Formats: sequence, structure tokens, C-alpha cells
Amino acid sequence: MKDKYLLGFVVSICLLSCDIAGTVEPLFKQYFIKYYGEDGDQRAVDLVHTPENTLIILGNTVRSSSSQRMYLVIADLQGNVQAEKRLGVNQELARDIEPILAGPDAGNYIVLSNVKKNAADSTAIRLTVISSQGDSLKSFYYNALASQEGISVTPLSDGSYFISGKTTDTDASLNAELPIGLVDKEDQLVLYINPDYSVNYNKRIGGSAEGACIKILQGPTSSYFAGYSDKLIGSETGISNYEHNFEFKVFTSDPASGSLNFNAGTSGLPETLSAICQSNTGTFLAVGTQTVSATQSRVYAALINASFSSAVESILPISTDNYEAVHVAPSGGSRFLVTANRINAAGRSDIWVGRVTTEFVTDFQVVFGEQNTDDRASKVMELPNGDVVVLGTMNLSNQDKIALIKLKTNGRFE
Amino acid sequence: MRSVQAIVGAALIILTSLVSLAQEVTCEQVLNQATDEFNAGRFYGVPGMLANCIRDGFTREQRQRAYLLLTQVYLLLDDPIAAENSYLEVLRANPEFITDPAVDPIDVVYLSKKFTASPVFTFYGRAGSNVSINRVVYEILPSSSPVPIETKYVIKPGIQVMGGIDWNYSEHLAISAEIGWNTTTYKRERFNIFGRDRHEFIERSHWFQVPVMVKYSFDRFYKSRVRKFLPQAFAGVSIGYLFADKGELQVFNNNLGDNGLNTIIASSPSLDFLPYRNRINTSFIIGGAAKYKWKLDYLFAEIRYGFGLKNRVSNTTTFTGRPMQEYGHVDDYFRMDNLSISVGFIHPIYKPRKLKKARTKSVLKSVKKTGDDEG
Repeated sequence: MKDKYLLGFVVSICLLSCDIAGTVEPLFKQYFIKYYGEDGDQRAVDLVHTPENTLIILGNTVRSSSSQRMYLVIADLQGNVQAEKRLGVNQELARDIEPILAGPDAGNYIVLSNVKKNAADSTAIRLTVISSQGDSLKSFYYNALASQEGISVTPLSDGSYFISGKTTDTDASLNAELPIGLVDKEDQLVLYINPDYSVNYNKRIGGSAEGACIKILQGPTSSYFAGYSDKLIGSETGISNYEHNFEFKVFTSDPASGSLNFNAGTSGLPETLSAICQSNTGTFLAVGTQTVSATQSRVYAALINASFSSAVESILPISTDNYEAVHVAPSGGSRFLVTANRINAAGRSDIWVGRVTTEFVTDFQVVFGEQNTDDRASKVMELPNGDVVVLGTMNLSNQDKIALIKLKTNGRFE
Repeated sequence: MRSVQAIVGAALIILTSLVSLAQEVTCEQVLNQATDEFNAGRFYGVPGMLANCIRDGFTREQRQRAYLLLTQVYLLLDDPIAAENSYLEVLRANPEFITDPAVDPIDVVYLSKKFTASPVFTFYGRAGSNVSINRVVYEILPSSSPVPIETKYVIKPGIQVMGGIDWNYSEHLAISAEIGWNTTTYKRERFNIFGRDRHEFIERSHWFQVPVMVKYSFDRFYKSRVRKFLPQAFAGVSIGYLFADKGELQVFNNNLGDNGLNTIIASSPSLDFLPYRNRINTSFIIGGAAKYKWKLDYLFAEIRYGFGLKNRVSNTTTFTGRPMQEYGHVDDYFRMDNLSISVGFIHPIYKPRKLKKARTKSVLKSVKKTGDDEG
């Protein structure tokens, strides 16, 4: 009889220790990598976190060489898809999405895209208002120049917008001081769009062979211009000193005539700005790529004070690999999340994500992607609860797919 | 000279064979003579007659008969110690010898109930094939699709080689422990990924297994008179340690192009999946076997089912590394059941010995029953 009880006890213990859905912690539900896509290649561009706790993920889909459109995914915070749709017209590629803060379309989202025109390498800019369900509500098409490329859109508190970008349709009168031998390739471009989507002004900003406005930020009383160009800075002279540096300025009404406040960059080494953001405590971090040689580049960062008047600069001390800066976002405790493409010796890139302090110390860093494939970062963001969301494009078995990576605040899945 | 040596050698071999044959015949004759002496009631000379052949002349079967004769002799001579020793020798000659009340004298039958040769320990080995059945705890889909993603697990054969030992607690009940190696294999197919793609994943795992079981041996199959095949049932727990795990992925990237459906197939090399697995797994096992007696040993065939109790997938590495980040593969959380069929060989370590408590009740019952039948 005792044997039966013993056997029953052992069997019960065994069965009670069985892993079932109720006993296994489903870590994968909250922290994960999720891929989104359809036939062909889908490449990530940007995402926003909505008040409904969904993520609107913006990308582009290339189903064949003749079919390229914007691609939108709406997912919940567990990565489950609520909607997937294509937007815009053929040969239209998304570039940025931001929430609309004010005006008639407040509560919706503005999508910036570039539409390929018939001429080679020629694009027009389109703004599309979409709902939080991803439905296209209206759009605005800007095609005043032979070619224009939007890089970012900034919705303002009065319902108007800044579009930052560049144009190859340069204004020769603005570039008269360029030395002979330096080809004027592009001008920085800023569009100011009224709440009714009419153009308030467009400004080409010259004085350099190459350059772009990356982002206009709205300050309390002024606007902040962040871009890059190869203008001479300080006491530099001579054609050889036309190399790229970060360029920051404060303006009230005209970004072209705004005072040049300050630059950031190392003399003799080119730095191109990739992104800028403002921390919770008011400081700004601008990140870009400093090219040291044909085989070495690194993430160059400029920490700008809250009044947008001076910067402390540093190279992010990551490692000896090659990096291309991609995006920066505010994180808790006046820190910043930075994402970059880490390029290996074979020229393949991985997605690098790190959090840096205002002393440029990384308190975590993590890499996604494999050495045989090209994986590229697009955006990093901290959710209100401290979770980290990374958007990128990962190459899976010869096809690009949009990758949403959600991490704990320590940068790990577990 | 060589031919002379060959002839002499052959003669020696033939002579030796003849001498040996002559001795065997002699011991058989001695045994027959001793039996005749016993039947004639001349008991005292029997041990002396058998002494030489017992020392170095009897075959195993002859030894059994000789010692059984001596047992009867000593019982009749009222020498119980010598009788018991003789019966122990009977069991050493044939550990499976059982007295038959219909044939053997009742006092020998009675004496036999004080002894057993049943094995305390039994060694065995088995080998065979198995299939694994995955029990999904959580399905994890790493991608979205306009069409619902479907997953199918396909069983594939594995093999196992095990050795074990039974500690025979009683005639029917034993506690058994095994150690050995087995492989488990399965294929997972996932359809409609990104609308049209298909993923195939084959995993091959190598385990050390240590099952511990309670076994119950039956005397016969239900109501069967055949005792050549003996059934056995068992249940227990198996602890498995995963020491090697390889997986291969194939991605069928199907795109609807201008010329219809184009498929690009990407295959992974053999990837190490140990980092993605929990190394220790436990199973609750049940099974049955049929033993076939072969001389003093057994051949057996068994079937067993192991209910996997633990999630095999490490939940800390689900999305890391090449499988996910190069091929878009992620494992479901799953337990793994295993159905195996084995054949094997059992070698009991017989131990003839006197019982602490004689099992004589059955003899008395048998005698009483026989008496009733005759009356």
C-alpha cells in the first residue's frame, strides 16, 4: 500500500512540474524582434508611438524594380499587426512620420515622402496626412524646384510645418564665394508650410558645395536649424578645407538669414549630421558620421546646451569598427539612445544601439544582425515605461524586411 | 619427417577425444548407477559413487540431476544441512530449476521452498528507434503576414542505445535505472510567411538519458498458458541532458514577379542550437515490454512513451543569433514527447540462496488439494 502512495506521489510531482502556458513566463510577448513585410523587400524608415499605445511603422516596399511604394504597419506594443497597407503612388518613398500637434489635422500624423519624377534622380516632396489607423486623409505636393528631397518634417505648435532637406537645383547667386574647382552640388533646403498646406516660404541655403538641413526644432521663441555642410568655418581658408561639419543656428523667421551660431566637427575630417533630438532636461544631442578614412568612420556627437548656443563634442567610444550614425532619441535621466550601422570588414552592416550619458559614456550597447547580411538601423525610441524600441531593416535570406526590436530598459530581451 | 609429426599429432587428438567421450559416458553411467542404487534403497553409497564425477566430470545438466539425487539421499539419511547444500548446488547448476510436485518427492519440493536463485540484479541493454512529438506551449511568430501563418511539425526517426540495471525488490517488482544516448529529430514547416514564403527547420538533438523506473513483471500474458513470453510494465522519470544540438534551415522565398512565381532558396549551414535550448529535460515515462526466454537470459522488445515535462527552448535567447537574425527563424516554446521501440538483451545475475522466510504454505495447499482430489 505504501508503494502505491509513493508511486502516486512521484507521478503527481512529475505532472505538477510540467511546463504549460500558465507556468512558462512568456518573455517573448513583451520583448522581441518582429519582422514585417510582404513579397519583395521592405525597408524601415520611421515610427511613432501613438496615444492609443500602438506603433505606426513607416517604411517602403519594393516588390519589383518598377514597383516601389510607401508601406505602413500599425502594430500594438507586443508587435502584433493591426493593419498593413501601402500608401502613395509608385516610386514614392517615405522619409519621416511625426504626430501633428495642432491645427485642423491635430491628432493625425504627417508623412513626409519623396516622389520620383520623370527625370533621373529628380524628386518632389509630398506631405500626407494619415489617421492613427493609417488611412490617408489628404496630401500636399511640393515641386517648385527641378529636384528637392525632404529629409524630415517638424509639426509646429501652431499647426504649421517645417520641412528640412536639400536640393540639387542650386541657386548660383548663393554660392558665388565657392572657389573655382569646387562643384556646387546641393543647397540646404527649408520649407515652411502653413496649416492649410500652402507654402509660406522655401529657402535654399547655399555657401557650400554639399549640405543638407537635417532637422528644424521648435524652441520657446525661436527655431533651431541643424544640418551639415562643407562651408569653411572659423579661420579656415582654401579649397581643401571645404569638408563637412555639423552646422547649428537659431532663427526666428528666416533660416537662410539666421545667424550662424556654431559648428561642430574636427578640422580636416568630414562630419555629416544624421539626427538631433532634445532630452527631457532640455539639452540636445546631435549625432553624425565622422569619416576618418575610406575604411574607417565613427559616430561623432555634439551635446548642445538648452539655449542652443554651444556644443561639447566627442567621438562615441564604441570600438574600432566602422560606424554610420543614424538616429538619436531622448532617454530617461538626461541620457540619449543612439542607433548606428556598424560596418564590418566585409562591408556588411549591423544595427548598433547604445545609450549614452551626457558625458558620452555608454551604459549599454547591443548589436543586431549577422556578419553575412546587411542590416540597417532606422530609428530608436524610448517608450514612456522605459522600454526601448528599435526600428531597422534586416536582410533575411536575401530579402529585406522591416524589423521591430523591443528591449527592456537595460537593452536586453530578458 | 613432417608427415610423421602430422600422423602422431592426429593420433593424439583422436585419442584425447576418445578418452573424453569415454569419461562422459562413464559419468552418465555412474549417475545412472547411483540412481539405481537410490531406487534400490541403498543410500549410503550414493555420495561416494558420484564424488569423482561431481569434482570434474559432469555436465551442467548432469550436475543438476546428481545434486538433486543427493538432496533426496541426504533428506532420507536425515542430514538436512547436507541436503540444503546439495539443493543449493542444484540451483547453481540451473538457477531456474523449479521443483514439480507431480514429479519430485514432496520433501524435496518442501525443501526447495526454502531456497531461491532469483536474481537481485539484472543487467540489460537495448537499442531501437524513436520519434519525437512536439507539444507547443506557446507559438511564437516572428513575422506578420496578410495570410495567417501556419505551422506543421513532422516527426522524424531518431535512435537510442541504452544500458540498464534492475534491482529486483521482489519476484515481480523491480526498480530500474538506465543510462544511455539517444537522438531526437523533427521537422518544422511554417507556411505563408510574408504572404508566400515557407520555412523548413530540421533539428537533430543528442541526449544523455538517465531513466529511473519501477517495473512490474507478470507471470504470463492475460489468461495465456504460454510462459515463454513474459510481459512487463513500467513507469518512471527520465532526466535528459542535451549535449549536442544541430539545426538546419531552408527558406523558400517566393515572390510573385513579372514572370510568375519566383523562388529563391536560402539554406543555412548546420547551426549550433545548444545556446537556444534548455540543456536539462525531464520526462514522465510509461511503457511495456515482452521478454522471451533464451537459455538463462532473455531477449525483449519494449515500447515506451515519454511525456516531456519541460519547455525545451531557452527563453533568454529566443531572438538572438543567426537563426533569428539571419534566417528569421524563432522556436516555439515546446515540450517534446518521445515514442520509442527497442529490442534488447537481459542478463540476470542469479544468486542461489536460502530464504530468510520459507514459502512453504503453497506446498501445503498443493498437498491438501491433491489429497482432496484423490479422496
